[in-house]
Amino acid sequence: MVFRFFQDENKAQGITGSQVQAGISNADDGRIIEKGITLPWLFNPRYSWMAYQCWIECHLDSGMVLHKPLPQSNPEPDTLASGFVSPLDNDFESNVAGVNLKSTGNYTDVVQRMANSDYRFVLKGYGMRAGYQIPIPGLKSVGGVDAVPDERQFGQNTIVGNCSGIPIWYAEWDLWYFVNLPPTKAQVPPPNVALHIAGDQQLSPTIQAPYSQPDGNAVAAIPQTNLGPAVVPKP
Amino acid sequence: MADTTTGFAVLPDIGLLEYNGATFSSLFKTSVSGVQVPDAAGRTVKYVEWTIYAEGTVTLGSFQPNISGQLAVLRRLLEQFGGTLTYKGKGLGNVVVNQPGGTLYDVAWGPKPKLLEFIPLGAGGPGSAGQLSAMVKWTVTTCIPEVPPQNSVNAGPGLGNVLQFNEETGVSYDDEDYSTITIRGTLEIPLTRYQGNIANRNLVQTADNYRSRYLELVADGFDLTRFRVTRRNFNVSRDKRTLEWDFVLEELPPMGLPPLATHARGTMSARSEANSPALMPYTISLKASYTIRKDEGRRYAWAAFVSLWKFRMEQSRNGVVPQENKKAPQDQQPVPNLPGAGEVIANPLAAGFKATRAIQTALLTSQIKAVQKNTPPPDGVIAIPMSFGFDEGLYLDSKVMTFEATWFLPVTFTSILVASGVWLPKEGAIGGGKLWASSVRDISGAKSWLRNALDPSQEVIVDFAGGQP
Repeated sequence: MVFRFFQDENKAQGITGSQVQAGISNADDGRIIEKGITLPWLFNPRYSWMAYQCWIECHLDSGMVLHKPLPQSNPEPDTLASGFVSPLDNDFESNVAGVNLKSTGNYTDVVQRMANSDYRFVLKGYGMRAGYQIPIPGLKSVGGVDAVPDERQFGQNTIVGNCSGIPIWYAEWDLWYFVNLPPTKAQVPPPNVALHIAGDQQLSPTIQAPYSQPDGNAVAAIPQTNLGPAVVPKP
Repeated sequence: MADTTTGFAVLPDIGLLEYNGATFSSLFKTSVSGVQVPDAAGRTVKYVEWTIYAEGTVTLGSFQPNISGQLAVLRRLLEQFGGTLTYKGKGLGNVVVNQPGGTLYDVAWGPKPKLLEFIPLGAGGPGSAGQLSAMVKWTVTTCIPEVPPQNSVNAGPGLGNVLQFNEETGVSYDDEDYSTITIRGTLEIPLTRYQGNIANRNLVQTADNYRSRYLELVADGFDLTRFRVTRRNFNVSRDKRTLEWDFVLEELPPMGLPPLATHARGTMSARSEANSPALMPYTISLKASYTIRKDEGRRYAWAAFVSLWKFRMEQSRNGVVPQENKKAPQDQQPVPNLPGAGEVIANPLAAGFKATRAIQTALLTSQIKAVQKNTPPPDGVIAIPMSFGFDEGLYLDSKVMTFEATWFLPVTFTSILVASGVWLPKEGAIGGGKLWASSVRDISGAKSWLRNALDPSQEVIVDFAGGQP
C-alpha cells in the first residue's frame, strides 16, 4: 500500500489532455532572442586607449676620458665589501658599515677632453588599444633642438586580445635619436593618452569630488511624509 | 437478534434518546450542558459543544435469559464516534444529529461518546444465567453550530463551509529599519462522517480544499511592489478540519527584482587603476546571481543580467574623458548636463519569451512589446567589455545562475558616479516594481508552481483497536 497524500499536479490544477507536467516544465519557443542586443565599446578612437606608457631616456657622453697611469705601489686590492658572509663574520648582523668606498690606493689619474658632449635620446614605450592600432610616436625636437633619428629604430604592433571581434592591439617602440646642437631646455615628457593627461598639466589645489545623480527612486519634489502620530479614524 | 433497547418502558414514553441505533427506554434520566466554543480569536462562537449525560436501566429483553447480549450490542453501539444522535422531548427541541439525509451534523467528527459505565442491579439470574438488569451511565458530546450551516459546494448536505477564519498579524523592524510582516491564521471547516453515514470512512474534502479559496484573498492584499513573500506555511491538522497558515513578508530594498526571479542578489564594483596611484581609468565589475521560478526558463536570468549590464555600461556616456592638450585642471572640466538614466533597456531579450505561457499580466506583455525594437547603444558610450563569465549551479544548486562581467571605463574621478550608473535604474534590471510583482503574484499566495493539493480520497479512517474486528 502506498500513501499518496498529495494529488497529481495536473489533476490538482485541473489540467487535462496535456503532456506537460504541471508545475515542472517551462515553455520556451527556442528562438534565438539575443539578436539585436548589442553592448557598447570604445568606438570613438579618442576613447580607445586602454594602456599607454611613453618616456624619453636621455644618454649623455660628456666627451671626457680617463687615463690610468701605471701603479707606483702594490697596495691591497680595493673591495666594496664591508663585511663577509663566507666565512660569516661574527659581528655581521651588527655591522652598519654599508658599501666600503675606502680605497687602499694612493694615486691620481689623468682626465682629458676628447670630444664635445654627445646627447642620445631614446623614445621608449608601449600601449594597448581597443579596435585601433597604436601609432608609433616620434620626436621632431628634444631639449629645444632638432632630433635626428639614430640608426636604431624599433617598433611593432601586435594583437593580444579579441574582444568579440574587436582586436586589442599592443605596441612597443624603442627609437633612438641624436642631436647636432647642444640642447637648450628641459624636455616635457610625452603625454599619457590612456590616462588622458600631459606632463605640463595645470594643477589645481583641490580635487573635485565625484558628481552624483539622483537615486532611481527619487522624484523631483519633496515627498509628502507622514511620520507623525497615526491618525485614528473616528468610529 | 439481540434487543437493542434498554428494555420495555413501564413509564410513559415522553422524549427519546437514541444513539447509533441504541434506544434508551423511558427508564432513563438525562442532563444536558452546553459549552460555547469560541473561535481562535475569542470573538465569536464557532459551535456549541453539547454534552448529554444519561442514566438508564437495562432490563431483560424478550425471551432473553440475561442481558449479556444486550450489553454487548449496546457497548458496541454506544462507543462509536459519529453515530446518529436523537434527543427529543426533553426541552431542548428535537435534536437529530448526523442523521443520513438530515440537516444537522456534528462539526468535529462527532458525536463522540465519552463515558460508558455499567452498574449491575440486583442479583443475577438462576444458575449461570447471568445478570438480569443493570444501570447504564453514558455521556456523549456533540458539536453543532447554533446557526444552521450553509450547504457546502463540495461537502455533503449540512456540512457548512467554514467554521472559523481569522488571523493575527505582526510587524517587526530590523536594525536597518526594514519591515517584516507576519500574518498567521486559522481556517477550520466542519467534518464528520460523510452525510452522517457512520459506515463511511472516507473523506470528500479537507481544510486544504479551502486553502486557495480563502488564502488567495489574503494574498491579493499583499503589496508586492513593496514586499516579497519569504515564507508560507500551510499545516493541516490530523483530523483534516483545521488549516493553520502563515505568511511572512519582507520589505523589498530600493532595487526591485527582475521579473520571474524569486531570488536575485548581486554587486557592482568600481575600482580605479590598481597598478599605480590613479583615480582613473576604472574597471567596473558586475556580478549577480538569480533564481528564476521553476516553471519559467532559466534564460530569464541571462535576460536580467545582460539588460542590467547593457544599461550600466551605457551610462558611461555621462562620463568625462579629459583632453591631453587642454591645460585647464581636469577636475574643472565640467560634467555635462546629465541626460538622465534614459530608457531602461527593460528587456529586449524578453521579446523572445512572448510565446511562453501567459503567466505575465498585460503589464509585462506591454513592456515586452515596448522593447522589441533593436536598441543599439547610444552615442558617446565610452566603455568596453573586458571580461565575462558565468556559473551554472549544478544538481541541487541548479536553481541558481550567476553571471559576472567587467568593463573598462576611462572616465575622470569626477564623473565616475554618473558614468557607472550607480543606483540606477529604479526598477532593477528589467522591470521590478509592478512588473516583478505581477510576474510572481501567482506563486506568492496559497500555492506555488506546484500546488501540492491534499488529496481527500487518500484519507480513510482506520480503527486499529477501537472499532469492530
